[in-house]
Amino acid sequence: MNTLFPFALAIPEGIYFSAFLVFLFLGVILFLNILRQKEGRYAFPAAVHVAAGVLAILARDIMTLLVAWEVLAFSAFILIRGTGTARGRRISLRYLVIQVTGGVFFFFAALLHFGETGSLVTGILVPSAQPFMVAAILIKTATMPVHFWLTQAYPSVELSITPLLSVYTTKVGVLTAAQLIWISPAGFPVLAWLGAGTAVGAVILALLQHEARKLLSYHIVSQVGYMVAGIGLAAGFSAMAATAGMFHLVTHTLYKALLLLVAAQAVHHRGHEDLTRMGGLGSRRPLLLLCGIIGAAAISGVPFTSGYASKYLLKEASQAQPLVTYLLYAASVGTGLSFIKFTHLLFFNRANPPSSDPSKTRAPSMVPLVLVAGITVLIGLFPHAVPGVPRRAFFTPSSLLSALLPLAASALLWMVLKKRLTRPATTVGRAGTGAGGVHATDTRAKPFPGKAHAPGTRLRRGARTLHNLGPQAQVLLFLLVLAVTAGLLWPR
Amino acid sequence: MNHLPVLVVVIPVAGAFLISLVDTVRPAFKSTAALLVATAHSTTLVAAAYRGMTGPALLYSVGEWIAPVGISLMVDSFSAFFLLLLAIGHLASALVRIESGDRSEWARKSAALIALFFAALSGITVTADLFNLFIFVELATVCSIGLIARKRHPGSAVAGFVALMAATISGALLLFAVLVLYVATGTVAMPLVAQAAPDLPAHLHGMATAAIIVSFGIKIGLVPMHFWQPRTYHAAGTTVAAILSAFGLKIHVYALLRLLWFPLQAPVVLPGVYSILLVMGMVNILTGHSMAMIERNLVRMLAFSSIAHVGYILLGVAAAGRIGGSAAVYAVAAALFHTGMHTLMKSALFWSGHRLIHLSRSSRIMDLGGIAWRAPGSIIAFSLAALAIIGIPPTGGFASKWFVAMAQQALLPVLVIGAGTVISLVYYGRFFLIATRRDPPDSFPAPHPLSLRPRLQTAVVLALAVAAVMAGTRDVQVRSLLLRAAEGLVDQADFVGPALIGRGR
Amino acid sequence: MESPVIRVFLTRLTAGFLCLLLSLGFVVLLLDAGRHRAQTIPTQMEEPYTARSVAETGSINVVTAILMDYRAFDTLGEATVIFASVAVAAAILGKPGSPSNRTMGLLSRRQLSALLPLFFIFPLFVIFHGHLSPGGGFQGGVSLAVLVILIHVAFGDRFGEEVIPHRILALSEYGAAIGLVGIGFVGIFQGSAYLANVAAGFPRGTAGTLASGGVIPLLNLLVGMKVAAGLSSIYVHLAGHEAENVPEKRR
Repeated sequence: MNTLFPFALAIPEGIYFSAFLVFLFLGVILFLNILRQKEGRYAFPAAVHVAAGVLAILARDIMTLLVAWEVLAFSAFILIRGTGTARGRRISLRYLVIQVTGGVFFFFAALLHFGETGSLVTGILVPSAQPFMVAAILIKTATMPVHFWLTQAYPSVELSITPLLSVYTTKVGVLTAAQLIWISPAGFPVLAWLGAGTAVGAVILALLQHEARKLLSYHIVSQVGYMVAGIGLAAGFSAMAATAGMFHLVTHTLYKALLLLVAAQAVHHRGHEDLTRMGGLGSRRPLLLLCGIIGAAAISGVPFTSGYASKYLLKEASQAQPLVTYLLYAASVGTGLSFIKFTHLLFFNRANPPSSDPSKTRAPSMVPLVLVAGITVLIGLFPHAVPGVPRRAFFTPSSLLSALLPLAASALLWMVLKKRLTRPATTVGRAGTGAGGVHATDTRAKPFPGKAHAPGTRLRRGARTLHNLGPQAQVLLFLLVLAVTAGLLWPR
Repeated sequence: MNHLPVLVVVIPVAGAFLISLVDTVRPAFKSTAALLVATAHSTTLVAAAYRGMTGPALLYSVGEWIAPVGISLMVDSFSAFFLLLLAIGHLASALVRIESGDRSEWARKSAALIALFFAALSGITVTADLFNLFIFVELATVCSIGLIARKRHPGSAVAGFVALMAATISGALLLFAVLVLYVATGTVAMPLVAQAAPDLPAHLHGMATAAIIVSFGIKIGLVPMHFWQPRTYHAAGTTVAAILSAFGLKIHVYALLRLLWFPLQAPVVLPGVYSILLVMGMVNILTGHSMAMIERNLVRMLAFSSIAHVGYILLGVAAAGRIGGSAAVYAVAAALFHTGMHTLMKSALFWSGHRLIHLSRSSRIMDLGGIAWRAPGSIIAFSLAALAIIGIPPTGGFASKWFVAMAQQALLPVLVIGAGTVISLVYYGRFFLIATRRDPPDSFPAPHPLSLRPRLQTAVVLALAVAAVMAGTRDVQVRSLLLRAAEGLVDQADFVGPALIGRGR
Repeated sequence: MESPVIRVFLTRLTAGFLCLLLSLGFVVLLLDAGRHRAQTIPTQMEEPYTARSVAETGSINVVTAILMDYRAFDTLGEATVIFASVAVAAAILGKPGSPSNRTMGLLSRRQLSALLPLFFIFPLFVIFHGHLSPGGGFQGGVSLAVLVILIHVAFGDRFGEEVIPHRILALSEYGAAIGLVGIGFVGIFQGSAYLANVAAGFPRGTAGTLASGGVIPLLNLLVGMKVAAGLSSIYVHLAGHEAENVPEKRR
């Protein structure tokens, strides 16, 4: 008799090993970053979160992977819950429910797989389990249209928590997909289309954002779309696609953590999240500027950055599917545009010079940024050094050109759309939420404000009233059930 | 002859009388007496369960009268599993209920009533005689009515009445079924009825089965016969509700299974009954969870959750009946796994909830905001048990749901199980969030002066919750035990054989 | 449907109709079951008890032989149910308080005080002759309880409490119950089974005499005591209790 939870673990190989290193490295850095902020109550859930992320990549059986999923969800739930205010409660519960729904789909898939094969070893699932697994993955990787949990939860937590959250949850989804999924309904790379579509759609939504972390959250959705596209192409369309997707996971995890750390510094500096009311940080915080530029360049795919290398590999892998390639190019243009805007508003916008004294930030707060930025640069310059990355000529003239063209398009668009994109947020209420709406006023009377007026209130009241049924009615029901059961069991 | 089968019934009965006597003569020693009785009973139960699990079925003829004239008792591996649950239950409820100084009449009588209740449950579990089963079911009913109808609680008399009314119908139907079987076969001994069951006219067999299903369906809260249950649990309060839901309900499930498989021979004679149980199980899961989600009272929420979890057990049972044969062992083992897990989880939930409710003097979820910070041990136990009952890997609750789902032959029940997981997450998560809010009301009301021992209680609930969580990773050991227990239900050879030896005497 | 009287009438009519239907169904099924048994089971198996009870138990009353010997375990269960009912009544009603001092008229009291000792003979006879003639512990116990209740009704609760204190009632109930359970253990110590009678070495005696039936007379006595004490305590609890008319709060 095999145990249900063998907890088979092994240090992975190839590109997965790089992902393992990144998970470990970022986990330690970001955990220390949280400790440094004296957020003592987050220490335990944060440590559990990191451990679950690392467990996910070490797992060699499906059950351990599922355990890692659920532990990630629950530890993130505690982190998002924050101080336990009404808004935090509502967002965290929604987050948890959607995550566990993904876990339930995983449960179905694992059940079907185990039912047919009798094995729980990690590997491509049986065809009947694939649809459920894809549903689970779509939720976990925040593929549109089920991305809202991410864009709601990540911007609303404490500043030091967002980078940590960004590292694991979606990436573990990608990792699971790479290991378990092999699907091409009717010979089409549907998953790749979904991923590439998400990459474009989320970028468009990101362009509409004014809050620093909200914007970055939409970019997480978009960038994870790239990875899903890579995994989707792996099902017989391209041999290299899965590796490319995983490489993008490695690079993106690093530079997105970097960008979120930069955003956290800026938001901390200014006391609010509205990008249109920031600016001028460039001259006051040169080191922050450097880190920000590195991150923005990497995510935009500027040559000789890490993002360039992984996106190049992805586009190379998607050659056979032009639709995916074009969508990814479109997403690149949007990403470039969005980060020109981001950098401009954060560092160079002279409209709102910082008023507070910048010398208040202490040097140690920059240590994690510098470390992550350094590694991002190194990967960008020497992509071959990353374990598991295929030997390719990354820096041929044609490839450089294909990366620069979308960037040029972004620059052109920026000229045209600058006014429109940097216009201050019109809705005052949104700007007022400031650094994480968690500090919004709490309505004590209702634990979940707005719920009382939800549709179905009457239905609920009716159901509750029904359960105060009197004795006579209950006896009638007993007899009714007796009659029905007897009728069903009466011999025919 | 090994006397354990009769001792598990007689010791707590004598204990209940002793507790009453001590309470009349030396009231100060009542708690000690109750604890001693519980310890003695649990020890006996464990010993009986051990013998039942390891050896062949223990058969006992009370008064050395062998069926059909006398009453036979029997402990096989299937009943041994439930005896084990009762052992946990009696000891834990005695520990949790050690009170200090409550001299109300109810508090005085409740210790004896709990001992009698567990005696009745043990009797239901060990008896191999239909009429004897009926008597113990009635005894359990009377005791539970006494436990429910506390005077100090408004509305509990009415709830007690409603429960009494439900129990009366249930008892009448059981009596009717026993009567039909007796008149038709001339005996009330289960092995002999089992022998005659295949030859019974189909309509008699069907009606007796229907009466038994409805009778125990009322007891275990099958939708739509569950209306009395949340109300009753609410009135009974958490400590008693835990005993009723975690232990009383399980033994009635046991009785239903035993009757269906053994005297009625339903898998062979009437397999259609399992399709009914399958549908009822799914309806129970959905109804129970949805009602729990919209419930605003913690005790009632947990009560609805019990209704839902009966559904999971029924799904496993129904699968076993529909498969039939030796493959059914796995499905029964899955149902038993969930039964055991739910016993641990629900008792931990109710008893840790007791502390929270006790501190805030209200069981409305809204009034429990921020209460967690005043009873951290209780909220930890509650959260662990909630994780298990939601079915989060690698807890025991997940493992049991996994095996129940594995046993299904159709996709629909599996999907219902998944939906139940998500819905239960919503209401347990919501309660957790409210209980741990950082902005508690300025002042809680002073706790009720009659305090049970909080540390002891927390230790008990933590132990139960941790056991529920750990069972998932120890599933190999648990499963071998459960498979052995399930064999006791499905292969009745070692039960029927010895019982029939003395037939001619 | 408009008038409440008509509505109540219709409700009752429906309820009555349903009850009638249900009992009709039960009766039909039971008759069917009896017919089936008559067809399938040979007649010598028909009555397993009657032929053998005198020889095996020494009791010439077959019903008592079944109740107190063959199925004495059921009787123990029933006695426990009564015990539990007393406890439940006590738990629900609370301590017996405010005994009323209403008594019967002088004539009745005089008459009763002369007759009461005689009245005691009947239940005692029923209990002790349980294995010889119709009757037994339950029936005699109930008659005894009636006498206790009679004392309370005729002479007032206060007098009743003085003559037979509630504490004594409770103690004798617990004592009888413990004795009942304890007698069962004799069988175990004798190397037989729990609640064994002749098998445990109790003398069977000559059937038809008072000292026959082994342990049956003793069990009858204990059951009688227990039932009498139990039912009397329920009465005491009920009598000392003001009628409460508190409607359940609407929630």
